[in-house]
Amino acid sequence: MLFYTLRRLAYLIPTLLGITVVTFVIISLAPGSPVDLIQSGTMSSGISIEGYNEMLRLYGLDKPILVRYGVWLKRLATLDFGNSFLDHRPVAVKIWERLPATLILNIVSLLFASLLAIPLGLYSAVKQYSLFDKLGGTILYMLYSLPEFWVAVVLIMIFGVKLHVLPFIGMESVGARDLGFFPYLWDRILHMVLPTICLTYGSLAYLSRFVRGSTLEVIRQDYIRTARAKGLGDARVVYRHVFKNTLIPVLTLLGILLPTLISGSVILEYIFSWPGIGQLFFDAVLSRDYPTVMGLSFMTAVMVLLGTLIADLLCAWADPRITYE
Amino acid sequence: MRVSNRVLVAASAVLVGLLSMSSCGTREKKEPAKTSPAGQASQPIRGGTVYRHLEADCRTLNWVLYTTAYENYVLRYLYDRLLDYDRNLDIVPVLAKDYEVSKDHLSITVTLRDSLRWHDGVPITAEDVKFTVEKILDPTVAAVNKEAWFSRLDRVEVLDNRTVEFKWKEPYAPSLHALTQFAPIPKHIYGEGDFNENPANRSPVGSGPFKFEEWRTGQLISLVRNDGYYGEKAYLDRIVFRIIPDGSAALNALKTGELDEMRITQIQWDTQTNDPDFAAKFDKTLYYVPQYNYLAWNCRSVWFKDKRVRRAMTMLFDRGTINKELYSGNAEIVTGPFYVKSWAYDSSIAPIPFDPEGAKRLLDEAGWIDSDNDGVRDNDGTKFEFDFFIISGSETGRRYSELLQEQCRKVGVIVNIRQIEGATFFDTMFKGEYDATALAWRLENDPDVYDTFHSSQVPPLGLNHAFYSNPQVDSLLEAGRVEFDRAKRQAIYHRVHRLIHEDQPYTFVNSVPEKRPFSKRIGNVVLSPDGPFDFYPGAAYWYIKQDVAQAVK
Amino acid sequence: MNDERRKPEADAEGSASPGYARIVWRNFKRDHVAVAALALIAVMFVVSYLAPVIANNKPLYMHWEGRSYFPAVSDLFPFNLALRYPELRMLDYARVRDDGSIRRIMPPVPYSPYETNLAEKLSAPGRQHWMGTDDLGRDVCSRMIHGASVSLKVGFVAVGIALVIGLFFGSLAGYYGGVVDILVSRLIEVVMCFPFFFLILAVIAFLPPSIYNIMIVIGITRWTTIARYARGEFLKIKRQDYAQAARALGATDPKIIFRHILPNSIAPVLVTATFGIANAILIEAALSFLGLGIQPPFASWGGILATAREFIEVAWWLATFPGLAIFLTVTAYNLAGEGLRDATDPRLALPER
Repeated sequence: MLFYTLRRLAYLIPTLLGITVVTFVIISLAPGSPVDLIQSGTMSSGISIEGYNEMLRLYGLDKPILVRYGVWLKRLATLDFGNSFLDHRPVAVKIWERLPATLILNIVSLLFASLLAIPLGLYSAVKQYSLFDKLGGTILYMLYSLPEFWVAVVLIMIFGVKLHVLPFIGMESVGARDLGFFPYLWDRILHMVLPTICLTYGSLAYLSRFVRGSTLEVIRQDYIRTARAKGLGDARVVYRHVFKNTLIPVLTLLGILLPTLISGSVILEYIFSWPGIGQLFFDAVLSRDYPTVMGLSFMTAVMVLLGTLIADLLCAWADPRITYE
Repeated sequence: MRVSNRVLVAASAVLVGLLSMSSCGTREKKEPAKTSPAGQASQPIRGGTVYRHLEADCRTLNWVLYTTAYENYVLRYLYDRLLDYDRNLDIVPVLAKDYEVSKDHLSITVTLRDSLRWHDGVPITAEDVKFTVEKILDPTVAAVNKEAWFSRLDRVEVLDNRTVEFKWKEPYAPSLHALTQFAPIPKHIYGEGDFNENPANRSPVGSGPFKFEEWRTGQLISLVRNDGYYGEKAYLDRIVFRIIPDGSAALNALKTGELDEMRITQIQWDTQTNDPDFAAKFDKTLYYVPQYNYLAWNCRSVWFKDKRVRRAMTMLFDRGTINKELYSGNAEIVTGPFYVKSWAYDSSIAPIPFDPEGAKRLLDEAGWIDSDNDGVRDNDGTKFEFDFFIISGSETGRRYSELLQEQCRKVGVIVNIRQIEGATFFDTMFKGEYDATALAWRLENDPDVYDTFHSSQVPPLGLNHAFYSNPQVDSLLEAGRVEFDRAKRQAIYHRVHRLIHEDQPYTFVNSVPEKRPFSKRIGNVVLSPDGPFDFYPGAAYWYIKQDVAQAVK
Repeated sequence: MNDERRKPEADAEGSASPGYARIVWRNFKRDHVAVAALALIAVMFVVSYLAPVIANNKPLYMHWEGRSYFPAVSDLFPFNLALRYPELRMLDYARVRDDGSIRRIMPPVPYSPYETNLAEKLSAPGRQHWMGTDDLGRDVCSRMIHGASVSLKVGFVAVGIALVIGLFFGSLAGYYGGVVDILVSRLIEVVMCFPFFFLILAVIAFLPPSIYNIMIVIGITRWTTIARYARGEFLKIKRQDYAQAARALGATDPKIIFRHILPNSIAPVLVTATFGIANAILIEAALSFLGLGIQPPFASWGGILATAREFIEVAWWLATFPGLAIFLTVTAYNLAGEGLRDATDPRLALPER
């Protein structure tokens, strides 16, 4: 087991390298350079040919791709992600100032989704084909099928504008910081309600169906039938045996969902003016801000790899039938 | 788009007359000390916060490096310029006490006022001015916005602590205008370290009536009143710019009182801002700004190198109906490359009417006929089918292109609309690798359009991305650049207008006014022909009308 | 009862057990909701294919200047009517439609999805336009019908691609193990690490955005979860008795994979797949919202929904109809998929009745 873990960790490095190379190549080959964009933003004739070349040199864009990649890699060794092309601030700082906003939203949403999904899924599985199962399932599918921007717009219209009970701009009201600690906290919480709902309802559907599915698998197992035959009450069976065995695949799923924690949703962030990572990434790709794109991709890659490693380890630990040579 | 001179000051009386007749006119609003609904004159009192809207976060608050309009909104409060246009488009000295233009028009000497101070208390001197010019012309500094104004400068000389002399290499008509686009930045802050990475880019030290307070990335930027300002102090305590990228969300914020103003679309103007509640809280204002929308035809492409074809395309684009339906009549059809309300624009030129039959005739004449009966015109083996590029997300581009596509289809021309995301779009444009596109130009108060229409300014050097070439226009543009007499200049640019209208390298579509509701609690909103912000003193002396503020909240 | 649902074992040579599909179908039929969902999907497909004869400003039949034509019908086939009948070349079909004197039969929705009419923009649903018009005066019902094919195809094709790739790699890794497993797992990780929007934007930067490119991008980014599931299942199942038995009896590798392991492992994969189809349709809507989706003037449900945002207070119909359509389609796919899953899983027995 330990050997396997170490081996997987060792594999991380070539995989990471591979990802960074491919990302770098793609973003570098895409037409358009940040210099073009800066110039175009003003739609003025600012730069002469010498000026243009000078700018390229300034950004290091005049060197061939491999050299540029090498430079980036070397800086990475010292955890230096470089400076953004757009405002020359360190990429790490730009990510850091937006990460909490995304993290808090995603973590809370995932928590809510799990807390609701697990009991829902369990109950649906235990009472398979009952009205609860069928009706609940259908309602959940319906929820899932609503596009998130549509839901966001409707919620804003109802709760934000017509009823005027929930805020929908940004993370806090202007001047909320000057109020006491508790009013400020309450303001922040209120601002989180609508975006969290939008993020949660979709994953709720998916998670609960998943829990239901894996619970059903467990229920069919022989040892459950044995427990039932032994006369153990339903609740005890469910809790002791079913739940705990279901939990493992759910945990592995959460491991896979780890990277989504730090990926913001561009659309929701746009609609709610939420200053998160999604917008940062989107803007960075659109304006060919290579350092920021690389920094974010690297971070995402690390999270994904860690997440899948954890998920695989949990899987192996839980199911002795899966062995790894 | 850039120009001229001291003659402007002399001719300002005429200008004022012309402009006040043709400007936004009937909807001009808001004089100071307007009577409030309660029937008493509101005296400006100090205090209060105004909440303004930013559609996107600023990238930098460095005055030399900024590139977008949003940054300009903020920087206008923070930095004063040497000279500026006032509400009647007269050039007035701001940081300068006075200025003098030499007889040969080659140098302008500017004397700064006494006791000017930066926000941190350090005095503003001529050294700061010189330093700023050096930075603008520094090749390692990406001063895209400002570089072109000063690229023809020979040198800047500091004559004494408060006097600077700008010397140009050759006569340059837009030279005085250039100084209205110039604001000094503090040498003691920016003189050291990496200019691009200077922390002052995030917390600027300026010279204007408001000081920087805070920048919460992605959320807001706030400014506070500068009590050490040399001139009359502002009234507002604080100005907060709220960053709300989504237009619908912003409108909702406006209605719930979290914003005091924002720019709204025609649709919002027509349908979402007409209830009595809105009318009680906001004044809907509509004003023209120096800009125009256009369709560009790549004059090097096989279809558009013949000007008859370009003219035909204009005839297929129903600007009248667009005006009525898309803008509810609130736009003005334009025919040339100047601000429709400026002296350079020749309003006697009538727009080419919407005429599909005439277009068909012109196309036939130019050799584009459907020789193989497949419903698509062709000429010498080439089909009349081209790509029309628009930036993805651009509503205007989408609507224009779809309307054009339909009309073209009826006469046997196939238009393929290609939505391209921004970076790729500009890359393609600046390489000239496109057939046709829809864009807009933001103009200056100086009508020099050399960069856009001179044949030497084709990509990647300049902005003539239509690859337009007309030797007559070339020499006229060159002449306009060195002509200082207003009347003569006007004649030159009128001829340019006429020639370009003949050639149709663009289909000039319209000039669309900005639509901005202002909360009734704001007083002293003044509109110039350049809008409510881009002049001196701009929005600096807004104040909160206390009695209205109560009623409106 | 239980026996009916159990899959018959393969015979000694590992040849296909006849009637597997029929058995699945029989199981599927028991779930009425799933059947209804499948029927809805089928209807939508038919409607979307027949769009040119359902919604078109060209008549189905027209008697014009002495001759009969079938312009709308010929739109069904890649056949340019104007080539055959040059007199139709410059014909303005909109005028034909409005002209009462010409004998013609119009399709049920007599509007083309591309026909703009600024004077009628943003009109509410009524007798003229059953679902109202959009901001350029185009008939929404017509655009919905023509856009149906986009939305339906996107989900199906994108996930189809993902399924093929995912199952291929997953089964390889799970069955062979060892070096193959290591390599494939690394490949899966590399692909998984790519943020989705990054790939979309990159593709769009290089290629003209079109429905096919989008389908391909969705397909090649979504196969990783399928592969992981497949791999997990294969790892488990290859050790099971019947697989070992088939091997002992001399069945070759591909046969074992396809006849024995794959059908048993498909259950969790199918759930993912059906959610994937639904997801792909939603992604198309989201991309249209960001302006990166279907190019104008083509219609797609997501595209209409995206423009609807601006007008939500004044034109509720622009948001309601495509929203409803997406909602119904996605739900239908999900329910049908779950029914399929239940039908193919030999371990899920119906409760004793």
